[in-house]
Amino acid sequence: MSLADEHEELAAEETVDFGETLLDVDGMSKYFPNETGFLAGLKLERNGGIPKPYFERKWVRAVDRVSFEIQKGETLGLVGESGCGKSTLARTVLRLLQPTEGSVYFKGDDLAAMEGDDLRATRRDMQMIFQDPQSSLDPRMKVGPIVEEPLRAHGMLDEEGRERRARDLLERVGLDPQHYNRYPHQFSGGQRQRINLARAMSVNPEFIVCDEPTSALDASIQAQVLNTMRDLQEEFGLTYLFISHDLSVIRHISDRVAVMYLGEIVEIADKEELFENPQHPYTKALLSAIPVPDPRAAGTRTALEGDVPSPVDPPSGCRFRTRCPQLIAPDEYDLTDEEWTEVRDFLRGIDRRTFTVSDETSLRREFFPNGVPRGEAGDVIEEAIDMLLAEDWEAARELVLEAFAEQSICAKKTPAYELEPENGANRHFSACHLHRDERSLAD
Amino acid sequence: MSDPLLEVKNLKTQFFTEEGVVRAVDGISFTVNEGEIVGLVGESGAGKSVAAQSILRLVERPGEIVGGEVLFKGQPLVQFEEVGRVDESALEGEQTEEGAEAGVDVDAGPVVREEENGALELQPTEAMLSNEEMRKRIRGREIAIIFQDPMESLNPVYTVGGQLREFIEINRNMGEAEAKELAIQMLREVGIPEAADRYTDYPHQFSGGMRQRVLIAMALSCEPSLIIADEPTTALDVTVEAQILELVDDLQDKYGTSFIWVTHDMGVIAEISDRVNVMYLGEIVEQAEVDDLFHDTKHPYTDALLDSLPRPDQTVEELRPIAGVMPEAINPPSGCRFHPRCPEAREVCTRVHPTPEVVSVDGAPHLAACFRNDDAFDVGYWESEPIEMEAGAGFGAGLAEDRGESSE
Repeated sequence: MSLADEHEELAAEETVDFGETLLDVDGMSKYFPNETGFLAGLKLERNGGIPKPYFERKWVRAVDRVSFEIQKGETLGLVGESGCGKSTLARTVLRLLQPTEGSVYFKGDDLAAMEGDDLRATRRDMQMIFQDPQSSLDPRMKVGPIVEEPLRAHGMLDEEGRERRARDLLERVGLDPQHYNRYPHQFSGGQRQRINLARAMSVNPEFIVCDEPTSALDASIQAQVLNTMRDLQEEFGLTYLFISHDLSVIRHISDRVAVMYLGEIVEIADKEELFENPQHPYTKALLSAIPVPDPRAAGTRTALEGDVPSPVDPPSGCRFRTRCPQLIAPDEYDLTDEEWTEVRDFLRGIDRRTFTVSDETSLRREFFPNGVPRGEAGDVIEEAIDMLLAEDWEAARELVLEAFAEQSICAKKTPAYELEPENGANRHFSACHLHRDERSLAD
Repeated sequence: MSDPLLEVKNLKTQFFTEEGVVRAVDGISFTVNEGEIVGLVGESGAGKSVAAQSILRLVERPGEIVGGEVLFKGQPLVQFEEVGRVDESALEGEQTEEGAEAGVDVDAGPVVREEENGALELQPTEAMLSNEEMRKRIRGREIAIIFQDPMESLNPVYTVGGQLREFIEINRNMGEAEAKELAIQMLREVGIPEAADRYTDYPHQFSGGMRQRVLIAMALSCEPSLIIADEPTTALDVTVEAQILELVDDLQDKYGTSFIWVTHDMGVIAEISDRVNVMYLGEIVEQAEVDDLFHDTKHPYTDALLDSLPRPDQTVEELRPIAGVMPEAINPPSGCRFHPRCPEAREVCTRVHPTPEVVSVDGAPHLAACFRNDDAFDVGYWESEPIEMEAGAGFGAGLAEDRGESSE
């Protein structure tokens, strides 16, 4: 029996057609408790008398109300910086973690509500490849049994059939079937990642989640593994959720791309659309930050300022607003674009304490060379300058944040807009109020 | 042009392991001029980090610098003279003897170098700086080094400010108060917000990008002429990496410091360096100005490496990977070390070993170690028979442990 026939036989009974929705994630969240343990969250009220204990739990909102779909046969790239929740999202989609809220429909069934044998049976159609090819393989098991293990776990094929399939798969992912009896340590990093691929392929899944599969590999080896993954996808009609922090890899492998920031998806579009016509300021910043392997292309970089805020207490409205270079001016002040740019720089400077105050003239010259804006905005700034001169940074910070940052639409409403794509036919979603003239998805 | 700031000539570093002698750095030569950023690029195992450490004589056992010369502002950081040949049977005894006197200054003792045709005994010259001179005059003060993982370079039980202050006190002979002032100023310089408050924070309270900024502050605080940066942005996110690259650009303009930038990322190289050295298996295979390297590539390895990269600025439909994997440096392939993976290898490449030669003279010298450029090499490359590539893209690549033999 050939591998293809066998594949046919192992295929799941019910399936969806190409181009139909295979996975539908709907408003999924995953929160973790900030502290764990028996007395976690126990606080003491200290106000002079006998301390009164009370409970207050804080949650890390690792993934927050995320929605997207993946069609059968396509690759959805998921890109974001470390700590943005990419891996948590992947694990929650596979129900390795129980979602805090929301649903994950796989072929129409809600995984979040599934339990026991049903879940176990469904898992056969979903596999995962991890980042570190070293630690995801048991060093005491031979390669053959490693590849066979999922088959054994799901009670598929007999002993002989499993071995034949393992050898076939090893060859299919570009290894020598003779290596069936070798141990993982005898392979290089790229080869180990191929073993991982073979293992994931063994139960003939429809959907594979790849969590940074090539990040640990050298450039030339990465290309080999990426090509193999593509070939397998074409041959067996696989669907990938491909997670990476590397936009070049994402651009190569994906059909559509989702960009994540601090637990939320900020933009989803077709690959060409996202890279050629990015709409969210975070996507733009990310794209301009990647070093291009061409010295003639250098010099267009706009570095993002500041650090990612904590997911325990994320900013209201748009989570990117605290670093966004295009933060929208509050409506109640009548400011020109130039004035607002000066105010924004002033506000960011105070927030991050990137300058030192020596005297009033130089402070004014640094931030408002043409004088402070007129009207109410100007009054607030005058007050803030006085506070700075009195060295009361905390008061000045609170004042300008409350008066400007918190009044912006970016802080008041959660953005979600559907845009008209310029390339390709698929939807272009952007979570940015710059598109507030477009169709809003917010309730 | 004036004399280069740093001159590396035929530098060799070997690791004496149980499996055999690893020729991690095998005769590399390059220079760094004042105010220049020189890139050292290669895949893992190419020997670029060992090369960087060898310059400062930071290689640890079982590694040893076994030859070549490193001149910094004319002072020999590394310099050897030949004593004579050692016959193979004596070699064993030689090494145990050396191990026995482990208490003494090993660096200053004679070393034995493995060559294709036997071993060679060498001895440091009189002029070579002693370990004490390296410690007191060179490291930190004249040449600073920044490593990849900032958490490992900072002591977790001391405050960031305290570590920086101590470093300044020792290296610049300053009093505590003065050093503290300078430390805060340096933290501010590298973009740490609220520098005076953060001075008393511990390393774990800083983000990865911030810690790397602290190390840059530390490196810069003694105003060295040269900073060796060993993959300083590899562990960081792209947006943070962009911040650091920006910072280095600004600081370089301000202080005119030279850099040796070690990385595997061609993107970073394209962005930051003036001249580039491409390393493969312990050797420099191509050396050129950054624009020439990317747009007038002379070595097939550099070519193949650039071809295998996915691009952020354009959609590449088909990646063209380099076949096989890099062999280990214990038993490198004969002739040109890249020939088992080279799509353009011919029979002569399996026999004759190319050393970098000037292959193009318009503008700055462009060196490549490939016989294809037959103006510079006279070995009859084009008359030689093309060979079948030994390493296939797939399972022909062989197992990691067989790699040494597969090239025989």
